[in-house]
Amino acid sequence: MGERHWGDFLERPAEPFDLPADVVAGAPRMELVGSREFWMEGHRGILSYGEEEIHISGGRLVVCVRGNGLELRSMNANTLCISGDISGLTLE
Amino acid sequence: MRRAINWLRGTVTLEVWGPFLERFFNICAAAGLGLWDVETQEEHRARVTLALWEIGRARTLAEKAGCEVEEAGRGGLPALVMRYRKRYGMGVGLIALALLFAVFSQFILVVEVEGNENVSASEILAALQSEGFGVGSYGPGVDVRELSNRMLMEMEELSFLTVNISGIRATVIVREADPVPEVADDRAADLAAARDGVIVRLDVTAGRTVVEEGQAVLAGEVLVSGLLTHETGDGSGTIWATQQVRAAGEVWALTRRSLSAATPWKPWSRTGAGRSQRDGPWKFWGTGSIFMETVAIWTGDVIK
Repeated sequence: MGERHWGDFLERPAEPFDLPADVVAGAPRMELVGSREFWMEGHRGILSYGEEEIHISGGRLVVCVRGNGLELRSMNANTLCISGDISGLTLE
Repeated sequence: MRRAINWLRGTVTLEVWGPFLERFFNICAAAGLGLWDVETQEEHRARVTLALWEIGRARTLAEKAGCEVEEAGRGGLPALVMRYRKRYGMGVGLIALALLFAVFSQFILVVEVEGNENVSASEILAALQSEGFGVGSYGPGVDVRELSNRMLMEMEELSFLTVNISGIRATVIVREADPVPEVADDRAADLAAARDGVIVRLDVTAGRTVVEEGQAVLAGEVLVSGLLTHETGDGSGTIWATQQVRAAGEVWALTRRSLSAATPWKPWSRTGAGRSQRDGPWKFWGTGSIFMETVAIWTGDVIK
């Protein structure tokens, strides 16, 4: 709870000062390459894993990746990559 | 590049199954254990690939996540080495090959010359060979400075020489010396005719002209004098000073030369079936026959 408040406190002022929120507030950075690859830095772990839907924790938000044939291509403590036929991303 | 590094380090493929596969992934990621090529086999069952030396940790973490693991295969260089570990000959051969490469790459096999323009590369290479440097020389044993000094003493046409040795290739970089300029002969002299002739043109740049256009001269006769006289200018013709210079210029004259050539009285010509026969005397302009032995040619020569 405290972490969420702290991240929220840092992320808002980062924008008007043009500071990178991912560095200042620890916000996750996501990159979608076409519709075949999804990279995420600063994740907090996988919440649910499946071929058609993968839920990833990004701290204050949850990223839901939907598609077909989804696979976890690589994963380490900070970065993960999901490949497959991605049809949509939802931030919750 | 990543694949190449993973291959060198070795990989292991594990089959993981359990009710909470996500926990296994998260625990591995939090522990710094990287996973890749995760393939879902069935619900709650997946195949993951990780580094070979992490297999022990992966088993421990799977147990912590409540999952079971089974090794599905190994790959990479360590697995290859393990597979052929009993083949001692292969190992010995590989080591011998590596040693051969390491040793023979120290010897020079290619010598190139750069920077030469008038001096031929073969000349330089031959001189290097006489100094004990060439194809087959041991690279680390070459004293480049000593070789350069000896080469510059031997070849005066070069002003700079160095040898860059890189593995089996040696590049000889040279700079040629500037040619020694001719010493101008500035002694006083006259300009004389080289042969008999009739002067047609005079271009004198130094000295006093003593002949005129149209004048006939003999071989050895002075055409331009190197002795300049300075008169007093009062009309008396008194010479108050003389000056000696080196006469220079170009003098064109019409001369005569004789050339002789031998021609046959009756020339040969070919007929059919490879036979030859002699024809009659040459016909010249269709007016008759001439027999030539000597031809006189008039030429215009430049006497310098």
